[in-house]
Amino acid sequence: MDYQSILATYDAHIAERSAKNLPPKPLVVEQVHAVIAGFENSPELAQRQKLLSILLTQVSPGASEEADLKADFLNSIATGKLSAGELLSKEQAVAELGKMQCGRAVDHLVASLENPELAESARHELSGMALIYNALDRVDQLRLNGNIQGDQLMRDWAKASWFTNKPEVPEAIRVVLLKLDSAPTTDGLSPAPAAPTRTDIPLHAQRMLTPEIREQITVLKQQHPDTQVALFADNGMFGAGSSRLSATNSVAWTTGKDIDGVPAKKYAPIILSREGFAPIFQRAMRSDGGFAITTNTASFHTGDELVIRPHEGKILKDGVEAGTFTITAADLEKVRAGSATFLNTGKTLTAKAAQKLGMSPPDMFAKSERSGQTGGQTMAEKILSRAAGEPVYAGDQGVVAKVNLVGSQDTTGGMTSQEMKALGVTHISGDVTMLQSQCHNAGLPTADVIAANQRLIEYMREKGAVTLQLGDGVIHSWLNKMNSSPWDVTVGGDSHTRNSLGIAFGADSQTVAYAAATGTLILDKVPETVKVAVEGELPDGVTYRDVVNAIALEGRKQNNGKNPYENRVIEMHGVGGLDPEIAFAFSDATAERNAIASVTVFDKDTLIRGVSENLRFVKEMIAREYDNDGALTKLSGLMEHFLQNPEVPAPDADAKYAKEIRIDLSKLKEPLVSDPRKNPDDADNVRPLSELGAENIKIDEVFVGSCMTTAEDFSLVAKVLRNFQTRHPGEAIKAKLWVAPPRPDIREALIQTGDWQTFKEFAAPEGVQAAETQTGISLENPGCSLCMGNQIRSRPGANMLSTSTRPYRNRMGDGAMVYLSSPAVAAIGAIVGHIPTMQEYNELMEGVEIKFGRPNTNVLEVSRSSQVPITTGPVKELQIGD
Amino acid sequence: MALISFSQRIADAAQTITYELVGKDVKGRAAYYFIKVPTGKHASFQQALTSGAFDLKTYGIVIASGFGTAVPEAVRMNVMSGNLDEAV
Repeated sequence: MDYQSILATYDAHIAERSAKNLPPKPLVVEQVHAVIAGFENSPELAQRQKLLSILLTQVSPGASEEADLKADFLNSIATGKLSAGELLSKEQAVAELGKMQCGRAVDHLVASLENPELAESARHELSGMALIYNALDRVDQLRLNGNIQGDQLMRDWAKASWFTNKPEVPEAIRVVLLKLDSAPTTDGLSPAPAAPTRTDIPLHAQRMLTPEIREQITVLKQQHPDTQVALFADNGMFGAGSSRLSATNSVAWTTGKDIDGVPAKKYAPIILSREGFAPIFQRAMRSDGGFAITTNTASFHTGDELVIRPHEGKILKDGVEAGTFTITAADLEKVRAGSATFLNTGKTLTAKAAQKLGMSPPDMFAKSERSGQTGGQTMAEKILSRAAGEPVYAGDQGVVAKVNLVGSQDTTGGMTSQEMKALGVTHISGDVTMLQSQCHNAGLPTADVIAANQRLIEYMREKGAVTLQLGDGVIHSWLNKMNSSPWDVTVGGDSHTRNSLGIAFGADSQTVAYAAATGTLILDKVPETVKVAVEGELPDGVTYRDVVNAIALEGRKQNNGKNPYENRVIEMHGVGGLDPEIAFAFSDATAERNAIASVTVFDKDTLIRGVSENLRFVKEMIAREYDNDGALTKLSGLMEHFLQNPEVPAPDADAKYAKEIRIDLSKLKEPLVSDPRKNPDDADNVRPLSELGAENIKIDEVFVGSCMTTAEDFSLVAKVLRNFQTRHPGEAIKAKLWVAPPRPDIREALIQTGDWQTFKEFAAPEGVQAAETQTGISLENPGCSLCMGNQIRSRPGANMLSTSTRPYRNRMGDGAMVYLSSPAVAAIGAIVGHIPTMQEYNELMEGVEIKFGRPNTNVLEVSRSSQVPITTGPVKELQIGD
Repeated sequence: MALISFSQRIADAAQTITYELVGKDVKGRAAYYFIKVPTGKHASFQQALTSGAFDLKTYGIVIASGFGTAVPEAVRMNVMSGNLDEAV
């Protein structure tokens, strides 16, 4: 298409978006080419002015083809190779390069330091930029070669000019309030069915909350034109659920502030909540330069005008103090810097520049305060200490931990790639292995979704990530098989980034991009730990998934009805013999407990078994040509290194815990089910099966799948179905049963065992669309499927049993009520068409073998025995003095 | 976790015999075990192996175990090299 046609199409795009009250999308590379061509070839001043304005305002800054083109164009003007006449002077072109934040623009500005005509203005622009990276070395070389502006620039950076040049956080911020009925989850702020629009921030924001609330925001903005709208909630935790940065982006777009030089994005929103914020959401708000304020909102109403005094932590209403809140100096620095990324990268820049100059870095930033704790450490503290290279304890602030595994899924991956571009990432850190999946869109991918995913995969692969294909399954299930040791630190763009081994943090896309770029995670504060001690033996008929529900139930019971896990790490004891693949269910479900992370205390033989299995898995990936830039080869080397001399982390006996929860397995007499009727946004209302079974609750649809499931779960479901076939030959199951394994190798294993064939025997007739069937089994491709709910969905208003992670309202289907249960309860519910009674459950579970942890040491028979020759052990374990 | 010294390990190895077992646990589930049996209990342990049901803990310390009959090679190698010698 010629440039004129592209420009005509772009004009139509502007009109179309405007009619929907949307700004145009940022330019893509073909459009940037066309705009530049139009500018160069148009004889009309007005048209040239219009095209230049588009180029200056509608290209996202960062490391991308679009930004590179714009930077080259601006540099041509700055260096006189191209003239824009009076529309843009050389100095103005340099100033525009300065707004581009990183990437090619930095290269041009650094080169301009050697151009006497431009050097001073180039230095001025560079001194305000933080995302400089290795260009600092080039500037330092200029300094050493006698370049005066280069010398001054290094001194500017060493004094944190990129920070001091920015205005301070205001003493007072005026806001007008809008009250929400209850604190929304991230699903409410950024609904899963609208996931494909997440990278289009203004469009996606049109799905935030309800049309009525969005209308109220618009009205408040009109009534209070000079005042920022602040949302607040009086009850519930704000931003629970998924990690999606799109939730923050939507709030920012609707209520935040413009960013100079950045199209279709805003920042620094303000939210108030009486019951606080979910940890990942709060981090995302802070990363975005926003205020997430926990304060008593009882006296606040919609339309109230408040004055927030951030430095004092006070809120004034009509000039009188109406609330207080805590905000750290470090948080205020993020607001001033514009984001956590700018702040952290800038601090690194300053430290390096100071080092090159032999100066001390300025003593102006908030200190990384330490809690002053000493002595015994929890498991999380042990792992993080190793990752940080210094002893760390709960309460320590600003801890920089090395990350070795990074995950990105496809509905947050677009945002992660945007953040990587904005960060100027040219290649992911050599210290990390990054995995990019296509699982959250794998249900019913449309042509648009396939195209968007393909662009994402190509980008991530070019940056060095290992990438999965549509149909490869759920990222969390893969990542859990990619841990190289129990010392791993993993970061991923999804709240279910919760691996069995090591410690894993679900995070917003900006944090994920930073981890991918630098191989580090900056922890605002090391969290406290809750110890969960599982004891005793599991009774017959009860499964490990019931223990997951027991953790929710007992946590509240033993903490006066309150969630003890919120914003803390859960440290699991008593499941040390459980295969890490199965134990993943325990760590995975800590997302629903609103815990920051989880760790599991495994026995040494389990870790050896687990890492050996991971090594086999990764070698299989390499054999199937998944490797990219040797990332998997490097990972397998780390696994082999661990297996040579396994070193096992364990908490100290005198470690300090915020709370200890004890669960006696022998007292779990029956399965436990999470009941959504009290609050569908909370998975913690757990009740015994006997109670729910007695209520005769009809079940329309059942979902067996999600990252919570393993091959053993599907095998158990197949055994229950065969039991049913034997006892009730020829009978059909009464509800619809969706079966979606999380990985293809699990499906392959089930095919080999014959379990998949059992499912097929209950499948809907050939030719019937899965979505239309009312009963029978629907076999789905590996992926998130109904658990994500953005493509395949239940019938509206369906009552469901599900093995997935969360029951949130409207997630699996409009108005669906989702009871979370074990695969066994789910399968039997599908068979009988209601939540089963204990009698129905026991009948169909008869003879079904349940494995949990370790085999009993009481043996029935020994079929094989042999003596094991023991060598004297590795020399490296010798101790001096023995 | 405390390291076990070279000399301790030599002494320990002289006083115990480590066995690898494959069989079924009391619930009929296929399982494997590695158990360290003191030499003083060796004879009675040998007898128990052929006598039907018994509790492994009566005869020694289980240092590794799992479900299934396929004993993970990495676990066996670590038992053989003395890397796994604590009760699980």
